Amino acid sequence: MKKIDSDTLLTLYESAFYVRTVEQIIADNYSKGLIRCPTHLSIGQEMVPALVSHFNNNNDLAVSTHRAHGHYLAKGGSLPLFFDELHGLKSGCSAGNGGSMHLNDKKVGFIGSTAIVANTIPVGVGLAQSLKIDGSNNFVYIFLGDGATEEGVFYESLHYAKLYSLPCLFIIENNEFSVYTPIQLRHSNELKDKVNGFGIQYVFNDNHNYRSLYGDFLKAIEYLRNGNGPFVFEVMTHRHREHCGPNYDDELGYREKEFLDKWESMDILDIFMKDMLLEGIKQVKISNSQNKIIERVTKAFEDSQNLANQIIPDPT
Amino acid sequence: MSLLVTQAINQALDEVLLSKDRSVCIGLGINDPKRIFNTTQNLVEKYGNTRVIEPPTSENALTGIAFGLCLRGYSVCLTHQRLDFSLLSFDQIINTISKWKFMFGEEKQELSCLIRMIVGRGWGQGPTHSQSYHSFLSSLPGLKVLYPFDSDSAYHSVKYGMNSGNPTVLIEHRWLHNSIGDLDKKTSKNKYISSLIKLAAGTSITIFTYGYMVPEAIKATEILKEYNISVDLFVAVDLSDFDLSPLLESLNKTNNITLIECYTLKCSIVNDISTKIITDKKTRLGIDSFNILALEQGHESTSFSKTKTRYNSYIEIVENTLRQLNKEQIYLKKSYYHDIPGEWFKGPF
Ligand SMILES: Cc1ncc(C[n+]2csc(CCOP(=O)(O)OP(=O)(O)O)c2C)c(N)n1
Repeated sequence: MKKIDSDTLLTLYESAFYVRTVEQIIADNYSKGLIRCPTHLSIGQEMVPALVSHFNNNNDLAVSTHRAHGHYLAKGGSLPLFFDELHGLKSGCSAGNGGSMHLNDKKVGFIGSTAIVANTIPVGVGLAQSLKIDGSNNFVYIFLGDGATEEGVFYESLHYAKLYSLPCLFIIENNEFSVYTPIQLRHSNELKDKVNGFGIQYVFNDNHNYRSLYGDFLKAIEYLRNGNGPFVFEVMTHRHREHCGPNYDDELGYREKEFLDKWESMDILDIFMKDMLLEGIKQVKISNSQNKIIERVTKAFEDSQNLANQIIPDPT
Repeated sequence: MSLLVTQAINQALDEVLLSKDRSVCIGLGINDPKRIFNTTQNLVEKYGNTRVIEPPTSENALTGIAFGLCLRGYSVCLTHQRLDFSLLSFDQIINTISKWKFMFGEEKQELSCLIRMIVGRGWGQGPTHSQSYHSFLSSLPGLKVLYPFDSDSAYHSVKYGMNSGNPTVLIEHRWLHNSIGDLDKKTSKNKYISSLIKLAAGTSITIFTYGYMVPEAIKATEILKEYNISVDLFVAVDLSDFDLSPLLESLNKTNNITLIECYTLKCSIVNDISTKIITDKKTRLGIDSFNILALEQGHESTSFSKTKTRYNSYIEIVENTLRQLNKEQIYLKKSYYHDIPGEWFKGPF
């Protein structure tokens, strides 16, 4: 396994912490009633964004789903425009029309996320085909959840991408639930077998093993840039909160306590933190990073919230 | 017996599952803790998960699968928590279900396939969670489109879809889910089919509407009454087919009409009715005023400020009617939060 140096480790942590901080501030403020759109948080699922952020190149493109905050931020999407979008402001990244579920920032290659499950998957394949025709060595991130692999269009897209050897990196973040329904009730065999059936490269990652995923990114990116065709990552991960909204909903009992405890003990921020300290990264250095991120996020959020406040007065 | 719309739907499904062994309900979320906004409460407990099915997210396949069951004599209810999700299944709805009987020359075949499509509104439902193509669907031969407005019509619509032998789409507006009303199980089971329902009698103006605008029109009618304006109020539940003659007769009496659309105007039910009115020469010649209320053409934004004037309510109906009849305007206070139907709705869906 490729060794990750301590500078890289710190950057990975910073990216994950950045996404967590953004999501946390949304969660903390949602009940004020100024963010008035369905909002799917990525808290707990920051590992993929951290790696995407590390390998980001603005000429690589990305499409995503209803749960896209982490992907948008990982691609370097504008933070003020993002917060404005959530607040339904005209200054938002989608002019306020899209809200949390419909984000874009073309400048950094984040082409769009939409809320119809599996909707952007073929769009990503089309983007990849355009890159191929152009003779570019860039590729397209196609983010999706395990639920989206149930739609026919996912398989049609895999088929097409393989047929034309298109540079698509399908990243399936498998949090084992589609809203409240566990994967065991929805799937009867492994995604691996289905993907392999298409003759497409497939990587499985479990237990938030970011080190091995790091190596897989290196391998896949080289493969994609060399025009070898599509690649699939299936990454097991965990959403901490309810499917949509700022709260915890574990009182509903649809996820076993054991399952929740397991993932609690594998929180990606804790994993990074433990490894950073083992690597000898100084606590003050980490705290400095954290503070800078918190400051930046808080400032952007407050600016946006103040604008929203002028339009939507506090209900209280 | 007073019930919420969601309870009325639940009851109708329960009765069908109980009375017909060969009936099945399928839908994402059907057995999850929220039970499709409570409409499928207790069904899996009573009838088991071979008949109350929590499926994978595969709308187009599910629609064909539901229909395949129907071809073998099953009554099937397939539910989409948003109409927007059913759009993935328009191949099966249009190319298969709507024309199966016709294609094979078997018009008498019994195919009780009910597709429930829930329409969202407010709290930033936006471009992919608030669409409502009921008008288009109602243009498809071979498909019945029912849009209930209260508990009774919701109950009877579900029953129709599961028993009539005609493939049926049920348009269920999210903002009606919590409205409460009486259930009259003894009414003729086809009371809502192919006919208009008259909800108020009046002489000043004729108003037509359907769906979630019905409660708004009722409220407007009550307010207008205080100002000596009486409304002849007609509503439709069956959007595929209704006899317009009571409306034309009413218009010949009042000479004033407002048609209220639940969605945008282009290719809508209301445009269809307008055409029928205009082509009826006797009615056309007698019209003093003709008005339409509809959503502005265009996709829906998630933005609070951008959606402020998108929807109409009883207030717009009252204002519009007063203007139409050259009466003095009255002041009605609008709720600041146009994007929630009431305190009960806390979002997100
Ligand atoms: C076509 C379609 N069907 C159903 C839905 C409702 N829905 C929204 S998110 C979701 C679950 C998706 O699960 P997954 O793809 O695993 O993503 P996750 O929410 O776990 O990130 C469903 C069923 C939808 N938005 N679009």
